[in-house]
Amino acid sequence: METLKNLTQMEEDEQGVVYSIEAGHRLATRLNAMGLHPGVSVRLVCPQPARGPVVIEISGGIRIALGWGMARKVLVKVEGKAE
Amino acid sequence: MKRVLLFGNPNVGKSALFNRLTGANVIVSNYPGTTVDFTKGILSIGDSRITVEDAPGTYSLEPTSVAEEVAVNMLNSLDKDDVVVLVIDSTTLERGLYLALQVLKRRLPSVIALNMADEARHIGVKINIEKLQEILGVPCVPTVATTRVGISELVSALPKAKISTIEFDDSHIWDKVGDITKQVQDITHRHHTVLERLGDATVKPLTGIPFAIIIILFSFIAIRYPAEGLISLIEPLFEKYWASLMLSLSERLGNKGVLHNLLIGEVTKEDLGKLIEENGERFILVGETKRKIDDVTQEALKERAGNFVVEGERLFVKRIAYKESFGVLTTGLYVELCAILPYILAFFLVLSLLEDTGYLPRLAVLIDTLMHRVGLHGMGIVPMILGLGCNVPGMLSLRILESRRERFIAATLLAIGVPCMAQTAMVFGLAGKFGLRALVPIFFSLFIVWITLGVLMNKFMRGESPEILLDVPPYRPPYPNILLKKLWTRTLWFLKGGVIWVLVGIMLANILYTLGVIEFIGNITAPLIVGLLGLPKDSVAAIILGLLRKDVAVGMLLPLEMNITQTIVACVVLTMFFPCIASFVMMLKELGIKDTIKSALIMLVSAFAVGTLLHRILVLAESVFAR
Repeated sequence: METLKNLTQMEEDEQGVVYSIEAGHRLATRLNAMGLHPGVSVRLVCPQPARGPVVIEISGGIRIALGWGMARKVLVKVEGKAE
Repeated sequence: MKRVLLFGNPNVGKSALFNRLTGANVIVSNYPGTTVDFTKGILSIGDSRITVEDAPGTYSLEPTSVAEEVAVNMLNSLDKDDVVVLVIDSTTLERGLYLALQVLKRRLPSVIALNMADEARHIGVKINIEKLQEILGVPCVPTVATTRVGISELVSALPKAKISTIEFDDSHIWDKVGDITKQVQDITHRHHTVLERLGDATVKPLTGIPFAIIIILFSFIAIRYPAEGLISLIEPLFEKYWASLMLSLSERLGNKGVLHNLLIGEVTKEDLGKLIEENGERFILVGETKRKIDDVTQEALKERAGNFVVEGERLFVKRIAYKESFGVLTTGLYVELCAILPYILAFFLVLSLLEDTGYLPRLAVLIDTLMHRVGLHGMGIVPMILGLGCNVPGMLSLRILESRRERFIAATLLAIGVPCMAQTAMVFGLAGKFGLRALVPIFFSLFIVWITLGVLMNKFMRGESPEILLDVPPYRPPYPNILLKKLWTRTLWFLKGGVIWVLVGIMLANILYTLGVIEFIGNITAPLIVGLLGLPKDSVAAIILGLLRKDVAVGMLLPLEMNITQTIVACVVLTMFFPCIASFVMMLKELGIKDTIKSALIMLVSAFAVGTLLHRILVLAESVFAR
């Protein structure tokens, strides 16, 4: 079962593949260069409370923290929880 | 080959490589954005000397911060005679290649350094170097900058730098990267390592917040006790050896004169009692009791004859009271070396540990939501923490913040509400004798000021604070040699900057006192200082000369013997008031003149407002308690 969620809707340890990034050119370019681009696999390490940043792991073990507003713009095809 | 530029993503070890290539001591840490400006060094190969440049890290060739702009400009300034060394973190090959491919298209002679090769091997990442070389068409060298592995190979690869002929579609770079990594990289499937699990646990709120509290408490202990231990080692040296040296110097200078006052200041004379002689034996009359000077004392008196003086019939012993004498070689050296240096050493040691392990970015993530209240995002904590040691590196690290608004808020908060080690030492020196009753109100007031100013600036300044976007590096064991070198660099730099300004400050203070300038200004500003703040008139000198260095102010306020209320107000106002001249210059450099003036106005107004308010509150509290 696959569902589309943005990063703020994902739960801890859920993983999936980045589907699209609905951000402006500047942010999209930056996320892209940091390794967050459509097609890359992603696991949600943890969200922070009160609309704080979320921390994700992308392929290759890279951890990135991104603010709530940015996280909302990243859509992920969720594949379930990591074991 | 004229220039060699080290270029790559943030936190891949460019500065560590730079240090290895040039023998320099550039600061290396485990978080993105340690290097914010370029540094040049010299690499000697045989007889030729080549300039090596260390650029700040960048993710792309479209800069999004001041530091990234510096990096891209440096790349743009290269020509065909230069060499660019593309530094890649072997554990994150894909991201490294993404930037490398774009740079290779600039058609400059290039070499690739695959750094952190040991860590990659450790986590099961194998890279086929020959294959990668073949695809990219430039020399590739695996390196481990922290342990010097592959450095000589990298140096010998520099003259063999090649211009790549690689072609790819600019709108599908990631496809090309994926294509290349598939060919050269072999990853053994792995489970998360212990360090990775710890890394994730310390960034999750439930486990991370208690951990952060423990780390902060531990840091306080790890700064305070070693520093106090160090002081108890240094102090006797001053009391025993340096004091007698100073006293004999004082003799040589004839016990008075301009030079004497400048170098040594005032020599304290302690009254031992009246000297009397009866039947050929000598006694000292202390109050009503008559004490015989026995043989042992006679010997001691003879040995240190210069320290004992008879004036009239009274016997005095000369002492150097380091906290009050106010000479360059007495108070100046003592405050620097005995009161501040031990704390600086301990602080930077603990800070370096936090930096090198990779803890700071995790703290930044945890505190992000709170920092937004004062108009900053989580990384704003880095300048603040650095500022607790010294405001100058704090000001420099403002560049990791993206917007001008953030840099202004952070600089202002740093200058007003964050006491540097010298200010903290000043506070302890002045208020320590009152204990927690004074120390708690002082630091609590500063904390409240910091938050209030931040919230106000965030509310009234146009724009909003950008969100955090931060690479959270893996935990890495700190390397002792890197840590010690960093400690040495920062301490040396404190001593160079610090000692000179303290000496200049004390000299100026002496001159201004002699000329009567201080008294003149004191009289003019008396209504403010005495009326509003309730401080003694003479404290104005400390406030003025505190501009040079806060440490100077301690020596000037101590002899005034202020009460607890005055001490609290003086400490808070002095800390909030202008930062020392060195950090002020740095602020001017980072913010520009217009914003610096704005920030200075906020500082002046808030320092006086808070001082006045605090004075009122404390006086009120006093009268309540007295009842």
